[in-house]
Amino acid sequence: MASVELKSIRKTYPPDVTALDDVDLTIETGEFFTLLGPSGCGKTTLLRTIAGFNIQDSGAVIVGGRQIDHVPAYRRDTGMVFQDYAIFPHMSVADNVAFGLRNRKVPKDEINERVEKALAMARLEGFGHRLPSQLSGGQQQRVGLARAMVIRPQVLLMDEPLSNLDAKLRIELREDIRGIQRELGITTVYVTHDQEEALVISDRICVMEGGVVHHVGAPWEIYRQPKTRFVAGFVGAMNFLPGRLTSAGLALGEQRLAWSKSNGYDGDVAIAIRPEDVTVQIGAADVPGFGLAGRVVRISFTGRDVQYTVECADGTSIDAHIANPSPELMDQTGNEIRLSLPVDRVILFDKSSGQRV
Amino acid sequence: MTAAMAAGLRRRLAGLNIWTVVLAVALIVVFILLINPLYNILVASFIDRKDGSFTLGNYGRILGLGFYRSALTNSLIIGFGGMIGALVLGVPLAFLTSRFHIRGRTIVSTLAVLALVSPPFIGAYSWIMMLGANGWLRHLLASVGIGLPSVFGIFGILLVFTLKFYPFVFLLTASALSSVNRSLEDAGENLGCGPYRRFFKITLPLVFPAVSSGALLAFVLSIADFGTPQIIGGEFRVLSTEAYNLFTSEIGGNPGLASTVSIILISISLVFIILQRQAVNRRNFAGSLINRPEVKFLRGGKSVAAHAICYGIVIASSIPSIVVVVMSFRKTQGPVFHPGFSLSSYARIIREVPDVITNSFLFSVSAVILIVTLGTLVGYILARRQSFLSGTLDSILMVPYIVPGVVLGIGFIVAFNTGRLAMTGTGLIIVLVIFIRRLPYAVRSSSSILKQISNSVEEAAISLGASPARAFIKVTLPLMLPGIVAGAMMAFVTAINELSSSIILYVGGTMTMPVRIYLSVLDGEFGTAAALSTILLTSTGIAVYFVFRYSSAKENAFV
Repeated sequence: MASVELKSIRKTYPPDVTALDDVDLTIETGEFFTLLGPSGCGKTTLLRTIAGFNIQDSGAVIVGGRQIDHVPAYRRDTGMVFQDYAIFPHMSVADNVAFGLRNRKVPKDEINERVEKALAMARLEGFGHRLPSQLSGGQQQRVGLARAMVIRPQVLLMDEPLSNLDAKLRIELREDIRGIQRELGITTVYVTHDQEEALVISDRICVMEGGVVHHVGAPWEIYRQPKTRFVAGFVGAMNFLPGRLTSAGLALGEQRLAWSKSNGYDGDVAIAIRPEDVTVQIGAADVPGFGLAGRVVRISFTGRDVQYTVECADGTSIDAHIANPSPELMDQTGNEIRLSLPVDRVILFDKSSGQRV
Repeated sequence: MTAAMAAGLRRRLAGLNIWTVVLAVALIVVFILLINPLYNILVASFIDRKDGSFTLGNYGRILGLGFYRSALTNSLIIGFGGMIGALVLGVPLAFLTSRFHIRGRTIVSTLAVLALVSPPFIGAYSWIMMLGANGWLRHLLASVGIGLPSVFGIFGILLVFTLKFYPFVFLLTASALSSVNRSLEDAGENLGCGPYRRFFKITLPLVFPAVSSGALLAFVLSIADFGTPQIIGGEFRVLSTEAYNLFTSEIGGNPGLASTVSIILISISLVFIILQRQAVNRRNFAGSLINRPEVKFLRGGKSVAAHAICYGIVIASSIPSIVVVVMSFRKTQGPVFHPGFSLSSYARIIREVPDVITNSFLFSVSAVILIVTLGTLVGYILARRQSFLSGTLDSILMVPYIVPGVVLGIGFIVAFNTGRLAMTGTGLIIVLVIFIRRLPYAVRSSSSILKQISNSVEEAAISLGASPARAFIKVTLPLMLPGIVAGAMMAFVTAINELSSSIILYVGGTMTMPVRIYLSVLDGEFGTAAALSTILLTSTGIAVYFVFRYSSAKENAFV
């Protein structure tokens, strides 16, 4: 078990694709660290750089204090779990799990013992003699997990391990992965494009886009205090409204409210608010914050909440998610409705740079 | 640079080196054995026979003299004729077997494969025994009032080619037909297409790439084949036989003219390959297969007719092999068949030409070992280590597909007759020509197997601490093995049946079974020819069995 330091990692693909643009990260020992972002953001490239399957153009990879930039992949001691499982189809489950131990010349008795233990941890007792073709997708990925952790790697790398599984299995396996990781305390780098998965499983999340790190932080911080407009929009649902922040306060259309933290800022901003923070009323009501009026264009009932899409007179569209609406609010499609945006729930981003204000 | 970094760099270079060395070796081999002979032919085709100066006169003579021009026309006639024949048999057979329930479909496709792998010259000579002036089938048909034209000439050539090359069209089309998305046909019907209109407007255009590939193969192989027109063509001269005759004629062969004929042959194939590629490129219908087409049951007369057509075609194409095997057990006295059965033909070949049999197996096995070794490694490079050089190699490896064996044989003589690489008259030259002709097939089969094995399997092994070499040996190679065995068997089939290049390169001591069969047929020694052919057919059949056993593609592995 070891910490992972990435220092100014750069990787470009000819002719002009920048996959990683000066990435600096520190992953603590024993941490469950997730790289989150849309496809093409560089998260898999970064993971494969740690594994040694990609060689960065510049920058350093340091694992457990040792710089391993030019250590070939097979000497890096990183267990990897693959999106498509990559189980060796010609070997039994037990041979798959023993493969890494045999490469390390571990004594036979110890191999058997460790394989047994790993299979038990991955809930695969009694599957040792089976061939991979006799296993379901979820079971195959459990073999992948057992195979990667049995070697007690310095870092466990997981490349979208759940994305080929159906929803129910995904939740089941994700809890097992988290449980095993906690129990063994293995430093884990996990790649996913599924923001809910990232929020549930991680100690810390790194949100990436276009080869650039946008925000590294704990899940609640990523969700509640996103550092950039991209993070705000990518993780969870978010409304964005055009506004202006001056020393006089925060303006949305004709309305202006006091804003204590302006610090001399003067310019156009994007006002961001989560749909679940927007409230909805029939008729006028006095709620602190911005008040807007609009027509309900759609109401979707998800079971957990009711989701309103409201179109204001100036054409902006706002989503509001109401957890427990009163019955008269259920039947408002096409009607005028009032929205209020509590100012303490609002966060601001610079209009041009997208950085948090 | 720190010491650790330098060491790391060295390791990276070392890692690159294994495959770099393989790539370099492959490029050198291809340059010496393929580019070099073909370049020699190209140069020779522009050289005046008398004073050695540059000339276009050879091309002028071929295209100007009525004699050669008719050979050119004849080549095109048998090319198109063989192609049309293959389409006429292959497409309906594919449609019937893939869309309707045909009893013993496996038998049908197995017989088609056997027709495909048995050498065409055996077909030619077998049809002569059946339909020649004294053939039993000719007498039989005459007795019921059916008179046939002479089997010698274009009728015989087209008969052999049709029955020999239809399996290409059949196998490719059948596999395409059974992967057409059924919803497309249903949509056509839903929009008002009747069954016939639907077949011609929807199904056939969708499988056009496969049908045209099969047709192209039939065309290219028809104009490249040497044995069939030479044995059964009579006075019907084509370019491949002319190239051979010009090169080997006793009154001082004419390598210049033979080379010119060769270049014209290659050019024709090239033009047709380019035309087919262009036609297919505009019709690339990749799609996800959701609904497999339905296999319908036929009733009553329709079912009988469908079975009759399917079995009729495959039995007709297996008759030549059956006849040859039967004839090999007939009693002979010298070259003459007598009533009754015996092993005298076998006794004769074991007594008179044991070296021919051992040569054949020795040369084939050696060629197969070379083909499989280099083919597997190069296939790996093409699938996993793409680079500019590997792309170049991939393109060059297309060349053997369009170079007739006779042409490459001539090229080998021209290139390796003198100098440091002189090896004409040795067994090695025969092994090498087979090797280079069949290498592309092994490369292609090895890289296509690899493309089905996810790269992450190998990466998993590496991340678990296996070195790249160990990962290849422990994980990738075992997964490739069934495909390699199947590929080796197919290489063996083509190697042991090779006639068109060996006929140019053999000398007394390096004669192979196909060459001996060809010469025996010319001498009228049908008994020994039949016995040798039976040995060829049996070896071929055993190899085919292993392909069926080990290749997941089964009969489709052959096209």
